[in-house]
Amino acid sequence: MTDLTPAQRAELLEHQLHEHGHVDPQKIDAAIAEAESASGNYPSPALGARVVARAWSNSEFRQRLLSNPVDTLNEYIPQGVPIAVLENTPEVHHVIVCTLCSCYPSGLLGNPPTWYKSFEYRSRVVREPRVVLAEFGLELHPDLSLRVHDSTAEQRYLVLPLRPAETEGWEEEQLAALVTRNSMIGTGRPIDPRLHT
Amino acid sequence: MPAWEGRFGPGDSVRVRNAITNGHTRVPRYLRRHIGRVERVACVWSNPGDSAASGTYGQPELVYTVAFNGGDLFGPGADHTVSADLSETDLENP
Repeated sequence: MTDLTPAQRAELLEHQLHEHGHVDPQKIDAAIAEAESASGNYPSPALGARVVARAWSNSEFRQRLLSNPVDTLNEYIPQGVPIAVLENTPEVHHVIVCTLCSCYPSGLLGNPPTWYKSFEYRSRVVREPRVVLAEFGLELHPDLSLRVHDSTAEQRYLVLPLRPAETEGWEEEQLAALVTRNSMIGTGRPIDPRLHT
Repeated sequence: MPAWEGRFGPGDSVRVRNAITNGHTRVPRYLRRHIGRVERVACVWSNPGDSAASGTYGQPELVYTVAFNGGDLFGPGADHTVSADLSETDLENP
């Protein structure tokens, strides 16, 4: 048993639960497909991207999202736990972690990436965040204040990244295509459209 | 938000208690005994240790977002800020 990888152990467990009539594997597959759906109608990075793109386009919506995030996000999908939105500015960069387990804004973004749950990320990003972010390819200017949010309670966090330069007049749908999952965690920036011509 | 006044308010200095618990806790070891400043009330939630011990939701209490200087936690090389959401019972006056 100890030679098995976590994925193999999960598969064995799922098999046993199926054998004993507790779960239907097709339902599990359907739930994963929903969670990873790019439609943006379920918790997924695509849904988060739609919210971010709207906040970039509509200042009234951005204010509402920042001051009353739970009710505002409930308009998209009901949130089971409190959530706070952290606005990146030219002066401050936010990044989220859960050092105790793997708390993540799943009600909006779906399942966390595997690295978010790793001991390496969880232990290092609170201690040496600039080094960790550089390893993600995110070099921050030394003058930029860096704020690490450890999700130690029920409240979840979503990072509202900075809108990329040279996107004036873009439609929300075009903007949403620039929003990456990591930019909503704080370990990346949105796609720079100047690099995508 | 909460219908009652908390023991702490924004700007207050607080120390994270170093309570030894036999059960579940939501206080990271790296914050224990450190002094931070309260930024805001994050939410109201049952004390996680009580909930884990009893198997039912415990007494609701205020949860504060508390900010700590990275340098205090990890040494002078750390110039960032770390914040965490901590239950009122896990905080004390410094």
